[in-house]
Amino acid sequence: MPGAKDRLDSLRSLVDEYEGALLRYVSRLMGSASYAEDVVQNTFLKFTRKWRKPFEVSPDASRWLYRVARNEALDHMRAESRRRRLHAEHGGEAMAQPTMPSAAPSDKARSASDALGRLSDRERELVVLKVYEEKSYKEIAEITGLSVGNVGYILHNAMRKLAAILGGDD
Amino acid sequence: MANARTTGEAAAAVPCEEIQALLFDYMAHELGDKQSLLVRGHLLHCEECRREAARMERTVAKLRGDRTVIPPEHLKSAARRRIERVILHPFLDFVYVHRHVVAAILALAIVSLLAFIAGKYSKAGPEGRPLWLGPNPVRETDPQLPQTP
Repeated sequence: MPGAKDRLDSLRSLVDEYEGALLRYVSRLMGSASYAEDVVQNTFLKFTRKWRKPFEVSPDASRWLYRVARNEALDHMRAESRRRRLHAEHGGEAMAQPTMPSAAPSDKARSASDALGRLSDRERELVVLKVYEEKSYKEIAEITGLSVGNVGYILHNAMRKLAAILGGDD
Repeated sequence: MANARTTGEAAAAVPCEEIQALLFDYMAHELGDKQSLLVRGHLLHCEECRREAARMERTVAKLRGDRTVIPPEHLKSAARRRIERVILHPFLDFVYVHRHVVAAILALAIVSLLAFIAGKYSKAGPEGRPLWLGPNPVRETDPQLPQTP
């Protein structure tokens, strides 16, 4: 059984290894970097409390971290959207919305992150994992709990939507 | 040579819709050898699918080149300290995680202690009256006891 110091050293290496990737992933998923640090911190806190195996850089740990970061980010986004809805219902319509999933695909997006904001949560998540994190379909399937075939199908549709939104022309 | 030409011709005969459904998988290197060959062969012969592939490539390049969201590269040191505290001070972390339960137990303990103290002192009065309320006042309506000679 490793001592606290060994565990601490292993944890530090693990955080060093994954913090950048998780911050990128969560920022892209949420369409904003504002809450990414909170979400990633909570992810590592959960990992440190619940991970029963040694703290090592491994595919298992990576999958676990991505999955928890994704759930934390989605929970945060849902809470934020509830808060905005309540605020709007009580007379604060002026609040800005960072993502705009309801906009029509034919409207020209201001940026790629706008375009990502118009996808569903599931589509956005898969695009971020494939395009930015360069995960294989198999890895994406393990993180999201979808089948490999489903990952390919959703990604294909999401990329067609993105091509339509972004124009695909220079 | 003849075999390659046959494969190319077969690929060209595949409907464009089927090829375009595979384009992103092809670009992501997720297709097997046979399907990759089919898509590659088709692209050599089909201008429309080449345009679609180029559009997909530009879309991916736009996504990757987007600088609207600039993620931080590292966690702040305060966040790292908070994570390390789980290992360095597991008891404090346990208390923090279960803070609502701990607060409820503490509140219950304090209320029980106060009730115990109150009960103890209330029994000490000579007429069942709590000590902290002082001696029992004599009321005018109380019946007078007969005077003994």
